[in-house]
Amino acid sequence: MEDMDEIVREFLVESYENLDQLDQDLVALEGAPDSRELLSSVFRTIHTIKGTSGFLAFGLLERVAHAGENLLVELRDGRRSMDQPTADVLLLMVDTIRLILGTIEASGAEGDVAVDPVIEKIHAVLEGRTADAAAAPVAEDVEPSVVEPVDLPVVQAPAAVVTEVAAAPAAVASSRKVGARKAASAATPAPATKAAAPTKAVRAPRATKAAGARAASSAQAVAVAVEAAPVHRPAVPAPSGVVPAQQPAPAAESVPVAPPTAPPVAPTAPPAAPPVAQAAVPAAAPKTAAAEPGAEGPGLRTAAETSIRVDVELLDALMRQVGELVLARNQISRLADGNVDLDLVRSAQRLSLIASELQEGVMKTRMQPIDHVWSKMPRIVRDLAAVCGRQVRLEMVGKETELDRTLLEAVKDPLTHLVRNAVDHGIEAAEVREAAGKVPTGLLTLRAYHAGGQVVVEVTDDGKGIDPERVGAKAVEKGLRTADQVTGMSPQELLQMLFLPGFSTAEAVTNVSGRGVGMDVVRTKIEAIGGTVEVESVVSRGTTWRLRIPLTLAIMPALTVESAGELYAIPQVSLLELVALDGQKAGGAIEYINSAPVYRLRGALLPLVSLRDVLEYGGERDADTPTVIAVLQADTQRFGLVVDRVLNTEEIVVKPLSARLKAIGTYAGATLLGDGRVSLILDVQAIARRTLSGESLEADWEQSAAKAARAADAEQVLVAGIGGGRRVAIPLSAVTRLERLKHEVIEHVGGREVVQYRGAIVPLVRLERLLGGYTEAASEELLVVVYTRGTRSVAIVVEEIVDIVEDDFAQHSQIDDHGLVGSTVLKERVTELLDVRQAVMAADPSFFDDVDTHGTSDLSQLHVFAGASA
Amino acid sequence: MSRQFATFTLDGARYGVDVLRVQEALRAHTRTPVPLAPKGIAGLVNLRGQVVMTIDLRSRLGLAPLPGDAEPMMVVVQVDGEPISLLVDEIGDVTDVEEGQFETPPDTLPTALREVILGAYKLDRGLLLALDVDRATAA
Repeated sequence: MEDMDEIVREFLVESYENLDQLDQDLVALEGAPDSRELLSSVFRTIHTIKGTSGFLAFGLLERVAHAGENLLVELRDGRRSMDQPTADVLLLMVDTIRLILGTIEASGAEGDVAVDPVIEKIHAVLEGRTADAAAAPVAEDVEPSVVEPVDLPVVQAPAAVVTEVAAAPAAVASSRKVGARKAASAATPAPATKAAAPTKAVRAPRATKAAGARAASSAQAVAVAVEAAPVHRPAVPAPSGVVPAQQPAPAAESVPVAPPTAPPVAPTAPPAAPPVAQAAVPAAAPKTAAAEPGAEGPGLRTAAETSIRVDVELLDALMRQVGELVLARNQISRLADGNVDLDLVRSAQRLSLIASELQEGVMKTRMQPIDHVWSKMPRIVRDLAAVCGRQVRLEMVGKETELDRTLLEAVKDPLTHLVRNAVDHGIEAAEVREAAGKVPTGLLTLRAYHAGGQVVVEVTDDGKGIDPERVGAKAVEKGLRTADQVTGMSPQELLQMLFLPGFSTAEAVTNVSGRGVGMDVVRTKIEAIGGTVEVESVVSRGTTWRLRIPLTLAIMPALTVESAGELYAIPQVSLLELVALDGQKAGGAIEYINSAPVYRLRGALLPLVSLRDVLEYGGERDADTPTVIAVLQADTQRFGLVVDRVLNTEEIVVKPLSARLKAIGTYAGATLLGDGRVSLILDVQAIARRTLSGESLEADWEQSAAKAARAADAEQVLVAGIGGGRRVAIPLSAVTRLERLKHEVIEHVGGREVVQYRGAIVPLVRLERLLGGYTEAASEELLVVVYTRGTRSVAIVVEEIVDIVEDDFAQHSQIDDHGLVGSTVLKERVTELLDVRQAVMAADPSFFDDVDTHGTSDLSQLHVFAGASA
Repeated sequence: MSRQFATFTLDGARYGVDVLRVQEALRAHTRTPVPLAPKGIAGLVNLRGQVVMTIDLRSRLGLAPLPGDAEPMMVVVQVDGEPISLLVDEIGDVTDVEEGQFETPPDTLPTALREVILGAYKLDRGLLLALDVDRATAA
């Protein structure tokens, strides 16, 4: 009984995998109806399911698969071509099979899934073109009884295989021939040969080929199963580890020329057909590629021989243990540090190296290509597109991008949601697209790649995009934000509101999406695994949803900080930069708006949260303890977390917290530091939500109001030295970034100096030349102020950056000169006010061309893009 | 029917936990405090690479904290498959108790104590209070 269950379980696992592949193949087949490879692959899968279900006495399943197979036989034999109704009914069949499998999984029996309607539909499609009607009835006749004389050799062969596996768990290769009665006897020697030579599976095809050639005269060889015994656990009987059935070249060729009586023969094989386990080789050998007869065969086998199925729990356990090992290694390393015992030191180093490699290796075993999740998308997109009346082409880039299997599981739903959304709301109906001058078929792109220790997954559509104004209006309408708040928001901020709970822009609730569970769920799920979601959208051009997911959950880089004598870890993904304030400056640098502390980070106000306050330590910190502001990114906003000290960045192994502590909501987990101490990992998102929501959000608004008010009479300026003791003030609104450039990077275009900067050619302005200063001995590095407007940038060369100060217009004097708009006194020094417009024009005369109507006023309206990457 | 209890003392009184629930008993490790945690949670310890939550039983039972210089001991028990460490004053021996010796706690016990005590075993050497591990470790 136990054995039986094992067989059924294996069957379920394999069938599920096969069905996923089937979904993909069928959808692909619709696009390429003539693809023989795809057809063979589909046919084989159904055939296998049918065969095994017959073997395991799942009658309903067998009937459905059988009906589908009849249809597929016609397709395969070229008597029918793949069209929409055929695809529909085949997909319906797949769904039904899945349903039955689900029932089997739940109850161990097939239950009473209604299969007749599906079979009826398949027949309807079949009879829609009954040119070969004769074939179907024959198949029908054959199906109920498998004890036809035709099957004799078939039944014998697998029996031999099973015995062989049991007797000698070496590589056993078995080939099965199905043919007309005459051919059968000719084919019989083939299995025998192979069973007798259980040395290398690789040898199988050759033998098969020979046999196939012999058999080809009057029949066709349908499937050859190559079995690699070491692949599966010994307890599992023959069906488990069977490699995808492969048709040798002669067999494949013989299929089309098969006599009309041949098709029904194939269906009779199933009882003996070992299940196809192409999934044992997840990505390495996609079935479509493998379906190419002959050429791909050996490669496939190799993959199967070198990969095994491993229980996921075992991998998880391994991962945990490696985590422990890494920690123990850290401790040993520290003990060995400063030890005079050379042997100990050497052993410790070696241990350290091995542990690192082991860790890497184990982590790799848990990695799976994102294709595992994506493979379901073609089917989803196809069905959805049909329901919504869209034409959608799905492109997938970076299928092979790998991430931890736990994470893969976690991104499945959010990703599906985004894809559904894109088809339903993003991509317009064909006529709307045409009216807008786009191609009628919408393009949905899934892209995955590694970037900065994270996996980025993008869902991009070229649909109508999201109108920020509408998002704003909707937010007001739903009472999520007030009209005043919305007015002040940038388009990006408006889009971010899509992630608010209770937000859905769908005009009408459809079958597909718009039921109120929206992007907030996506965000919650992604954040739960330490990832982030962003959205970019251009109206009428399309939308990109970008998920950033950590490579693995178990080990991640984190910043260790100290607050009130205790150490805490901050996940590196949330960290933007660190700002250190020394003791005396700290008092003045932190300002208060309505008791809410803020810090001016490059001119923009950064709300501050003290870790001491968050953790409710109580008590005031000493005024002159040094302070560090960790600038963190949470959801939509950034904030500064005030800590006492920053220690270092290290790879930490995340340990789960007891449920009682998780409920606190401030900690994402715990970890062990190098010295064996336990340290809590801060949940940045949760802290932000706790401390920045509600009234503090209001405070944010007040802050921006205060900022706007201040900007009216004072502007922040960057004071820079330009040599010869002269100082100029550049409005901060004209400073996008400060950069240091090596001298060598300067190139020339005509008489102008240019540099390559972020993929663009950027002209250089030398202030000292423009303003008639001295040119001092060229230093190693150039300090430049980059001013970016739209896609264009200029780099203004200065000698040194002195400070950022507030410029009081009242002090301005009209004393000026070429290139200046006046002068003033800043920090008790006369400072020239740079005419940025003129300086920029000196380098790029057409810089302001497209905004000439706005003139210089455009400058002051520019936002300062504070450089986020520290 | 006889059961075995792992015993320990708290503020002079003897307490016991079914020996099958006890994973180990050892000297207290350095604890990392968990700010914002419910009262009674004494922090986290590193138990051979595993992060284990520690409950201060004195605080849980409404007793005065251990004097500053005294070093508590840890009894690590299994709760819902996860180990939780209990801070106790001293660890005693494993004692056999009979069901017949059991009696529910008297009504005069302070509430904090009554909540986490299953009852008392009247032993020859005095009373042994049976600790309700699940309730004592629930936050």
